[in-house]
Amino acid sequence: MGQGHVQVPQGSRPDIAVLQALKGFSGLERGLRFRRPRWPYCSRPWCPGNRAYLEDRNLYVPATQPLHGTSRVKVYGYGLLQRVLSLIPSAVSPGALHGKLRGKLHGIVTRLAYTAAGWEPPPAEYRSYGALPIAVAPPSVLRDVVVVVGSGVSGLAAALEAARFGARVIVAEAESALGGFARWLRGTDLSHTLGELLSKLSSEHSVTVMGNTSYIGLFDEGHALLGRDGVTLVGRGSPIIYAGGSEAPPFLAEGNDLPGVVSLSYALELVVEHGYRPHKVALVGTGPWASEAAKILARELGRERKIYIVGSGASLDKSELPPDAELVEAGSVRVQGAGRASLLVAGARRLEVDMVVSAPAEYPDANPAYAAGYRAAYCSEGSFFHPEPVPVSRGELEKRSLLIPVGAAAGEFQLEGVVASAKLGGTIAAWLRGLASEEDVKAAYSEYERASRALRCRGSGGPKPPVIMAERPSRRIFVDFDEDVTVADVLEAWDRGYRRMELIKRATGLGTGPEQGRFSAALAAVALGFYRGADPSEVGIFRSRPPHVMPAAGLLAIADFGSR
Amino acid sequence: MELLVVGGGAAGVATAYMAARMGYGDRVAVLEQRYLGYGSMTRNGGRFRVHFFSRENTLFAIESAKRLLEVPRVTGVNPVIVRGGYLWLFSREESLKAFRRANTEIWGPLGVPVEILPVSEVAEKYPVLNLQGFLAAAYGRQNGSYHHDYLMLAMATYAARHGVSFVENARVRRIVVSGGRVRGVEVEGVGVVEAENVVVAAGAWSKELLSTANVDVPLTPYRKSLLVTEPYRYTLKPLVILFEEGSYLGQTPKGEIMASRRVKDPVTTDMSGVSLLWLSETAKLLATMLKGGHMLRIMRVWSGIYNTTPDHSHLLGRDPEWPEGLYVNTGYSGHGVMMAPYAGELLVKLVFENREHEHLRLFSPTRFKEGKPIKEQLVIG
Repeated sequence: MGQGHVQVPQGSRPDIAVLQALKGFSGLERGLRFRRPRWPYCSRPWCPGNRAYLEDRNLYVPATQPLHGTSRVKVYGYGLLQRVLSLIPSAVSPGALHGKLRGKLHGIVTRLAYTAAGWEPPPAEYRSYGALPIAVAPPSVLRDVVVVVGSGVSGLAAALEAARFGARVIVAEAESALGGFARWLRGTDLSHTLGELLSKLSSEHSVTVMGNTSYIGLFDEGHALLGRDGVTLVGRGSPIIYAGGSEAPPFLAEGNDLPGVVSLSYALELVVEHGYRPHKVALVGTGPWASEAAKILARELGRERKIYIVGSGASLDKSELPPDAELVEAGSVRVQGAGRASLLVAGARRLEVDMVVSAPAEYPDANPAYAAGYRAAYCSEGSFFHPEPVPVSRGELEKRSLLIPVGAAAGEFQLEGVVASAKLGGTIAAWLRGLASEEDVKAAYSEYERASRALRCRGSGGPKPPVIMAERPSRRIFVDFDEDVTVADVLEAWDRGYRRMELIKRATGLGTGPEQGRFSAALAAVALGFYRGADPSEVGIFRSRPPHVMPAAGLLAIADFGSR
Repeated sequence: MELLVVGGGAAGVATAYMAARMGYGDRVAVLEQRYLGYGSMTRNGGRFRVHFFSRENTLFAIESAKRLLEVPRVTGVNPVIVRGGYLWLFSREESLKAFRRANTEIWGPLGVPVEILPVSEVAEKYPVLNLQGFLAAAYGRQNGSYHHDYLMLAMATYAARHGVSFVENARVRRIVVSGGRVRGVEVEGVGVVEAENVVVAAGAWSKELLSTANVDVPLTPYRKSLLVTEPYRYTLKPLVILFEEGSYLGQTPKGEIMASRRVKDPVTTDMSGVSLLWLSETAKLLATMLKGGHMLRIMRVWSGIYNTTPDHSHLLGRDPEWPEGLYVNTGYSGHGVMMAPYAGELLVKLVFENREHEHLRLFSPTRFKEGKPIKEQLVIG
């Protein structure tokens, strides 16, 4: 794929515009250490590579969000010239850990090489565009409500349960459509349940939905939601149910920071919603929803397209998979390509592909939960890390600022557990509002205990990597795709005596980029378990901080806040 | 232990580092309540300057900057020190006059003058800035930035390699005094650790700890917050300070834009909270000071503490009326990391060589009752 520009009209998403114009993936953002063009890995604001460079504005914007105004997106190619020039900085790379004098040389060489390759953006000025405000109205304040973040299956189930006890519920959904992940899984139990919840919602008058509204975090003044027009504050003392879902982390394979390596939900979105039709797709890993996704991809793509399912041995349930998909057994994978992923080396097989879908174990997007003080527990089957179970004592919940994680955000990935945890969350919220009794909570809790997978799941018998991992940690296997921190860097930090994730973060820069440790901390903890025998739950992950999405400054520039 | 340092932040780690440099490493131990840098050391904006409105602080900062710049050579670790300078922006004539006066009376004579620049020149050099409403600027090229975590790890690993013991998760509950002398400290869950000398370098937690030895020091912990945006092209080298406001913004070499607006701060040692009011004000700062600033996406916000004395100058050394062997090294009021290297050296010389440098005497905790405060008014943040 060559370098160039794609004109993106107002209201369109840069990633979709580029995909349609170029009929395939090409780099939207430059990578760092290995300087490869990047593509969003998933459609969440913090996903690796989720930036598109607007050349005519000299600004980076989220690649998966509609533009406020027409602009020209730069597409980073990776032709022969770029390939040659990219070797130079890699050769003098200082490494992530305590770079010394080579760091200065690396900086100079990199700048020269990449300007020559056409990868350096020009002027030193940011030019604004579109109607994004510079100052917004003072926040509206919600009181005496239950707020649910996320309108997927768990969010809606929790909202309806709280409403059942008489609570007034506000559902804040970050996107403009309801349903979350289940939207893409048509024909499954999950989407069937979603359908039922949506029809109940339409007749439930005490539940209001706010679209295009994200949860940004807990501040002194209370929980804050951010919509298109500004901030909404949830007064302190109102419970907040976090149903933000989950995402599959990028699998640990050599050099898999190429455009064309995408998460399961993002792959489904591109195919189901935006009509992307790759010729050859490889689905790597066998985590939750992988087999359902394979069936949907097969159905959407039709017989003339090729689907490979890559996994290891016993975890592949052949009866669950589409008939003409090809199973490839592999214990490790390497993704290669020039400017986009085009080759998947799985074990001994070399597969030519247009898209590589990462479907290993899920990682709950529980950042607000971790910020609220929930601890992360390593779970070797199905889910990756999940927050401790929801505490039901009022004091404990108050300590956690009345934040209740449910569904995939709480480490539940089977429908039964998702719904049980959501109903428990809704009941607790109603109880906190004085609308449900302790008996109601106890009943909901015992149902949750029965159905929950997360409660039963502990790190069983040594850390099993939830993703396919190489035998020996090479310098080219990344855990942090924003900061280019590799497995080898993390192990080096560990061997130097930095035995806590906080210190490893400080020494390597892991988790300090846009992704803020959402994937990287967990991947690093598991890698330490796998290669150094550490207990991932003990190594832990670090607490996140607000804002839990990345709001533009203009949306937070609240006029006259002091006068509240 | 001959010297027990309570606090594994900027002051404590720098003291240990200097002790190691001077050959006293194996006679020093550092007790840290959580993990190294848990306090403000890992939460600050990573800047150093030499310019203060008081002669004493300027002298001290000049000496300390020299020692800070030696860290890479001495430790072999690169804390990414960049001399990008500080750029103060003025919107009032009196402010400009105050800077000119300081330049003439203090900074020029000490060899660290600032350049007074017209707004037009600033606009040319830094096209990304919105300079409406500003009359002039002062540029101090002697100042710069570092990576706070790497700096801490550089000093701590050097000290550890040269004999200093670091103990984390060791919360000191009280200072043990008997017969008018320090005997050691009591560590939670462990018991009494004996020491001949104890230096309290515990930042925001120092006042409470010193009170257990019946020592009262005037310290107030103000919670301050910072935000960083996602990385953008690196164009803003200096730290830009809106002088009258005390607000500032800058850019890290990685490209993140860092900013904080001065608002009314809560008095607390709890660093876990952030105020939406502060965030909103700082977002306004970005939106107004940078062209296209309202489009910049905010990645993370966090809080730290300015452990502040009545005159905004640090406390170093001891009061003769205190129990023997008890020292203090704290109260940096927002400029601790940059001052810590020199403070550490002076304190080590005092404890191990019985040499009381005149610079140490200046910052003695006795200065308030002696009527000799060092009133520092060039405070940032």
